[in-house]
Amino acid sequence: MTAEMQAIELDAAAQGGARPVGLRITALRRLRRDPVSMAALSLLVLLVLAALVGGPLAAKLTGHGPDQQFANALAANAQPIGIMQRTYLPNGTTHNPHGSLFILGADALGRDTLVRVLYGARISLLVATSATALALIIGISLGLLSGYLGGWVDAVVNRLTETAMAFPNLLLAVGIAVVIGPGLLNVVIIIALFTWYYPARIVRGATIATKGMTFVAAARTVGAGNRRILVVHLLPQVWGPLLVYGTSIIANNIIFEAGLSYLGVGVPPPTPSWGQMLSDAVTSNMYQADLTLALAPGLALVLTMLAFNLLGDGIRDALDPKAGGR
Amino acid sequence: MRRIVAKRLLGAVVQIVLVTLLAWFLFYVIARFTGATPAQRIAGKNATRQQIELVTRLLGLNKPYWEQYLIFLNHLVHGNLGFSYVQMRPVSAIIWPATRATASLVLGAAVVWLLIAAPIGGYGGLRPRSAGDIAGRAVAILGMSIPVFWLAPMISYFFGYQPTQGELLGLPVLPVGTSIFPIGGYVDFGQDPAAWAYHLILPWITLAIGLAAVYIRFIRTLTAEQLAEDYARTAKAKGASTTRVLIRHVGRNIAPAVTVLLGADIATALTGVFFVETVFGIPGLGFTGLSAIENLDYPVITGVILVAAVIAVIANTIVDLLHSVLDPRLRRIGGP
Amino acid sequence: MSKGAEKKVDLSANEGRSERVMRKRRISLKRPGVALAATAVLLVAACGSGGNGSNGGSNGGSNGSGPPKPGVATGTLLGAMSSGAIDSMDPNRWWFAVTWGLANALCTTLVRYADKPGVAGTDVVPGTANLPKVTDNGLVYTFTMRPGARFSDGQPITPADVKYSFERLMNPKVATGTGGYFTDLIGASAYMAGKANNIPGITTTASTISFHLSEPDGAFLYKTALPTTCPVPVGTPMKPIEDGSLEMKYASGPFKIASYSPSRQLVLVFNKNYDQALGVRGHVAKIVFTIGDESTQAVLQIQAGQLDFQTSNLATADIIKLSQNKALAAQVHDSPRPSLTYIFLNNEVPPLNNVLVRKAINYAVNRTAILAQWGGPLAGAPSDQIIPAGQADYKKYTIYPNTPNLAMAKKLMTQAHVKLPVTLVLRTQNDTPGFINMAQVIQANLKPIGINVKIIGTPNSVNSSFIVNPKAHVPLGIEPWSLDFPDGESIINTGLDPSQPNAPPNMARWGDKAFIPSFTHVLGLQGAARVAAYEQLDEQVMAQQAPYAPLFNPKWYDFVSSRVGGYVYSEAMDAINYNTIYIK
Repeated sequence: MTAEMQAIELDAAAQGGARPVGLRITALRRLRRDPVSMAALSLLVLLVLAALVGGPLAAKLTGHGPDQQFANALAANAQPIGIMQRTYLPNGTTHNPHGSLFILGADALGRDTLVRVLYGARISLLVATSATALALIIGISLGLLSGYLGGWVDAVVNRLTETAMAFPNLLLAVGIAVVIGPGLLNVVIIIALFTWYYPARIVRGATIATKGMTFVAAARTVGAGNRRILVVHLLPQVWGPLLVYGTSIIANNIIFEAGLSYLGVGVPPPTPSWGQMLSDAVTSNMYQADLTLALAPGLALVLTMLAFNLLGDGIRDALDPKAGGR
Repeated sequence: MRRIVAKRLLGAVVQIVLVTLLAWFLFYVIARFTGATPAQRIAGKNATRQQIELVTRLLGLNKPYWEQYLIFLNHLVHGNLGFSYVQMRPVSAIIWPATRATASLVLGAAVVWLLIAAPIGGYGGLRPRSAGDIAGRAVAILGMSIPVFWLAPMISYFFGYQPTQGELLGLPVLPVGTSIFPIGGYVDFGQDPAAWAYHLILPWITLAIGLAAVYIRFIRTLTAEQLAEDYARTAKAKGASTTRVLIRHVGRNIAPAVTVLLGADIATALTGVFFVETVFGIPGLGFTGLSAIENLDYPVITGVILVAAVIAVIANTIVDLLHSVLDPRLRRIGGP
Repeated sequence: MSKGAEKKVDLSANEGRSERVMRKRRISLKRPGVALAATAVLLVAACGSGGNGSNGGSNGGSNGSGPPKPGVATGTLLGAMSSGAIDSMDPNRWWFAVTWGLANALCTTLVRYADKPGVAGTDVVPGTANLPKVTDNGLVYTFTMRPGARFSDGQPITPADVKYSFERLMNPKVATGTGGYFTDLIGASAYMAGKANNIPGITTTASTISFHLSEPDGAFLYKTALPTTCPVPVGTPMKPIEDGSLEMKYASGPFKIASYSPSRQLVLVFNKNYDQALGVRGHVAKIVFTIGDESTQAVLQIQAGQLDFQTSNLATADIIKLSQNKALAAQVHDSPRPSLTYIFLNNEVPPLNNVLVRKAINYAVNRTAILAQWGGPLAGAPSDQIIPAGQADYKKYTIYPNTPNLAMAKKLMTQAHVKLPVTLVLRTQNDTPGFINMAQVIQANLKPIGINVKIIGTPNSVNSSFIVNPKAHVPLGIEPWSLDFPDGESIINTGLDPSQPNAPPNMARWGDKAFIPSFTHVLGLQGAARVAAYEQLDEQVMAQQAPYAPLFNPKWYDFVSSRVGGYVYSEAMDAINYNTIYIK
């Protein structure tokens, strides 16, 4: 993660000046022509679809809600049913041939794993995208502020950013979460609090660079307002790196949320989140009794990460082919 | 040049002070409002009001905040990280051994991931879009996408535990009782270097996988950029063999960037490895910090955060200084 | 290499991120001291109670498959405990389950519990003294010291030492958790308040020690077996000593501490100065505890033969796996525990102040399903009573069912005329997966009767600080409770004293004044009358007031290596008994 961020920063700094306007179109074309990126994009589209409708659809088809606990999905010794098995008869040892079918099996509480994985997509995406959006807002604002105003404001914000970056992320996040308590909003805020640094630095660097450009000074004498400078000169420098950063940080935030849930300070139960499901399976050793419980959310996480990473790579390569070695 | 260095060092000191202030603020002040205060915790569950007040006075928690903070700073300067009432011993006695354990884990893993990443990344940069490059990049992306808190128990289970039951990856192909790797545990280097390394092999691999992925990509990018530079093409035109060019010139040129990144990553890793530590039972900084949080052991929490942040600040300072030295462009723009 | 040591698992149960295995012991409210959470009572009864056990089997060597000769201790056991398992290493302060297990190995109290499994392990047998003579209508207990009582440095344990130990456990500067049990000892209250510097109610002669009570106390004998009464020499500093040094030099049990590295390792070795005439105990030369091991990993290590035992509750998945593996049957032990897991219903938070609502909750919860999340039938038995099954003063009555009676629950809610739906917070520990899962079952159970449960899970220590604080007004919580000694007093009076609704252990904040006389009266009773009184009190409180929704009595399902023989789980101490173990 850090390596990527540093690389993006170096890229942004190295750009120095504005990009040619036609770059956006060329970049898009390059992106479209890259099969890997397109595959990743389709995967992400599928993911969004799953998040939006997959859950309720699966719930309707199987008749299992995401939070519905089926006592007869657990054997008498509390073992949950596995892939493509039906619920138990009251004796707890034989499967009911007319019982409800669980496509991916049930979890420790007798809930449908497939339905929960699909609903989990919602939470993971929701938390990750809102946290990213919040982080971008904070980062961009601070970066603009400190880059534009310069002087002591810049110095203070800069020091603040660097100090904040020096803190151990996950540990502090857990500490804060323990203190302020669980909750969806809290998780989003905490994650955003730890991911605004790089956008801030990228924007700050670009702002400073823009300020120093001679033709900006020239443009001002002609009467160009701040807004025009922002859009015409600043934006082209930052949208590339920010886009790349955005895609990779969403992926990271999904993992961050999963990590927080794993440590018990993420989204409160019974809301399904992939991290929560993974944590339940691993910390209770239940995956040894039924590997699906760890594989299902784990694979979902890996696939999502893959898609985001591949897409992020594709975008970066499309924007600056030299970096990809092509 | 010296001005830059001095300015940066001063900045580092300021940062450390800020870090201490924030850490102290978070866990001494805010916690009060949630009713989970240090005094309450230390006095114990069944403490009466008088008991809690007595402990508050003993700990100096009734003094004004700024005074408490100054006392805290004063202790710090003298190397006193505080006293843990949960474990009833000084925080430094808890943190330094933990730091050693984590350092063993992280530094060892760093060696492993560099050993993996350098050849693969280098090859990828050398022969872009070849089969090897694509394979390397695929492996890297995969490695980056696997959450470590999933990887750690899986590795421990499949390579530590299953062999003892006669299985390898689920298939009964080994004799029961084979012990390839220990399932967990930690032995101090001082006690037995061989056992120390043996217990750390699986954790090193677990930690290295994710970071090797990142470095494969990074080194690949850097290598490709270098090879496109004029000097490399000139050298090849002059007839130097590819490997020589690669290792001597490219390697030398990318080494600073990689070192710079390594410093930052190691600093981050020193407290981010508690998933690995918890699963493999390594009593390191992350594990200590996490236990401290769960036990509301504020002095230890603050201590861990401090040590981690100081290491990070130091690493970042070195990184930034190296950066300014190495990259004249940044010097012009105004420095880090 | 010995690998197995029995693990004691604290209530914190399963692995979770950090095994904060804490046993909650409810201390009497009158105790002003500082309490640490749960003490694990390790009533590790040594083999045989009192006298010279002829437990030595037919073979003398410990390499045989039977127990070794008395006084012969060989081999090394390797055990693992969680990082939060030890609360204190001060022998007059400790309180957690795991530490009481250690206490049972390191100390001999005036009297102690028999080293037998099950309810036989709650019989009181002579320790450093013979069973007392009780005179003056139950107001004076006189113990005569037995000749072999010695500290591990060879010095005899004198009555003066014992008196000093009792004073130390009640000294406000040492701040222990069990002082409150002794408030009826003459002069104790003044001493605990810091107003006196000794306790006149304890008198000694050259060979006897007597306790003078101000009123009869039917459980006093048990209190003199509390692990916090572990003897220390006169002159031991009156402040907490946590480095384990006291039990290195002054251990009085079959083991002493060889080394203690907090959060890393604890090593016990056989104490040669323990007189086996006091009771044949201790058959292992060395026990090495690695601190910080997660229970799930530990189970794998035991199966792999790299470890002998562990001290945490097993995860449901492990219980499932072990119970299905017939080959491991000899290494699995299922033992009863003196413990209740329950939901406290805060009587000060509406609508829980309405007794009909509390009863409705008792009809709505699915005790069987909740137990399934703890580990299923092998891990416990459902219960709707306060006193745990297996205790002498337990008599089964049936008021509330194990599976929900929704019709009844809804009817009660309607009668209660409460505005529904209502949202209530349920707090529980989350460093143990079982609890959050149980909370989710409860959430699903209470939804149909109009109560929406919001679950807040926090690490155990954070959770504790909220639920014991009356001002926090925590409505619901899932709590495990282990008895400090095998008598109803240690759960009914300690946890539900109606005269002290704001005392920390009374998490239900129950203060029905009508019950005060019966609660006070029962304390002075003895024998059969006391048993009958507690049986009745239990039923009355649950039938009329239902301040709790009892869920189940957990069992101790343990897994040890194949080398471990003589495994006994002490039901009085609620911990593994290290004194009976030998290496096969």
